[in-house]
Amino acid sequence: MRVRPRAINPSGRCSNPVTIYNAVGIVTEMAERKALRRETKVGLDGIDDRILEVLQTEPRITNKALGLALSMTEGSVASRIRAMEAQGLMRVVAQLDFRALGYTILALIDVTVANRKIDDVAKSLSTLDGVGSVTIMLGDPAIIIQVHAKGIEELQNLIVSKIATVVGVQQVETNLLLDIAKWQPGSAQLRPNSHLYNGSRS
Amino acid sequence: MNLDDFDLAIIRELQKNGRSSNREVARVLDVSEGKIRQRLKKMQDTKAMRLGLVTDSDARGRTFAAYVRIKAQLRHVKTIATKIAEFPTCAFAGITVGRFDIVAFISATSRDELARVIDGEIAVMEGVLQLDVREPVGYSKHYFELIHIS
Repeated sequence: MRVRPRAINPSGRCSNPVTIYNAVGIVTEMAERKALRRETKVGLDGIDDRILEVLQTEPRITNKALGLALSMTEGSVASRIRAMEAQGLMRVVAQLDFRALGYTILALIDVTVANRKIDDVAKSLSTLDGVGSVTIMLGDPAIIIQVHAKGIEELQNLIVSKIATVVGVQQVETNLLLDIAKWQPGSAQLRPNSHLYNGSRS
Repeated sequence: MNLDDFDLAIIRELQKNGRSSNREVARVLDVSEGKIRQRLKKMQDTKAMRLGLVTDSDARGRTFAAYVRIKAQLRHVKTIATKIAEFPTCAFAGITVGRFDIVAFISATSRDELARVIDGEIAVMEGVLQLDVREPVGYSKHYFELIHIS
């Protein structure tokens, strides 16, 4: 991967891109940028934002057309997208409608946890088929999960035989979805090490 | 629409990288480019699949999120859910049966914005009786490849 190191001036903001030829320098620079990003929660610059804006409506636009639209070369568009992908900042993916896979039921389930670390319970729940997302919450319920099933029996089986038997799950409360007005995640936690949570809550 | 193995093979390629060109997908699956184009069009027209941009919520600064669960007067439930779904900050909104009538997921770039959406826009909607706001502190799994296309 090609790196685009940037100098950090004393004010802590990124200045214009500079090339540092010393390999050690680049490593330090990247580490500083990472620290800076954590601090400011911004890993994207204005040009990246413009690229993302176009990709939002035309995710499969060619690099060439994207370059034309933004007055950039095809190559620099390609390398920016590659860099963003490599850093886990964005992805373009095929998103499937759950009904096309035969799922008819979606539900949100509150999970109350006892006698086990919440993070461990969340990890166990994540491995279950039919569990689409596992969110660790502030306070109680400790976890909210989204589940999908191919029928009410499958949902029942998932809750009673799988979710309820995970060690540490004390209680579950289901909110069944009757109608969906919107279910289109456009942002997600793509990078594993979030500043949000370090998994130490018990 | 029922998806066959060929559709699923195309989808798998585009889940690895949604920006692969039809030509690249065709080469991997050893079929003609036209065949890929035709299947993709069909899947998109029938709303079985879409290609979507997913960005890292941290990187975009959308780290102030909440599940907003609502009790509402029944005759207003549908309108409330539809209105919330139109918010750019809303990733998900649905009508539920259980303790709540509506559940929505809102993600904002500041606590202030989150409060503005929840207290300033949702709480004041006609028919909203009660709000239950739950804040996430982390995600153990987020399967963003399964969605609802309306």
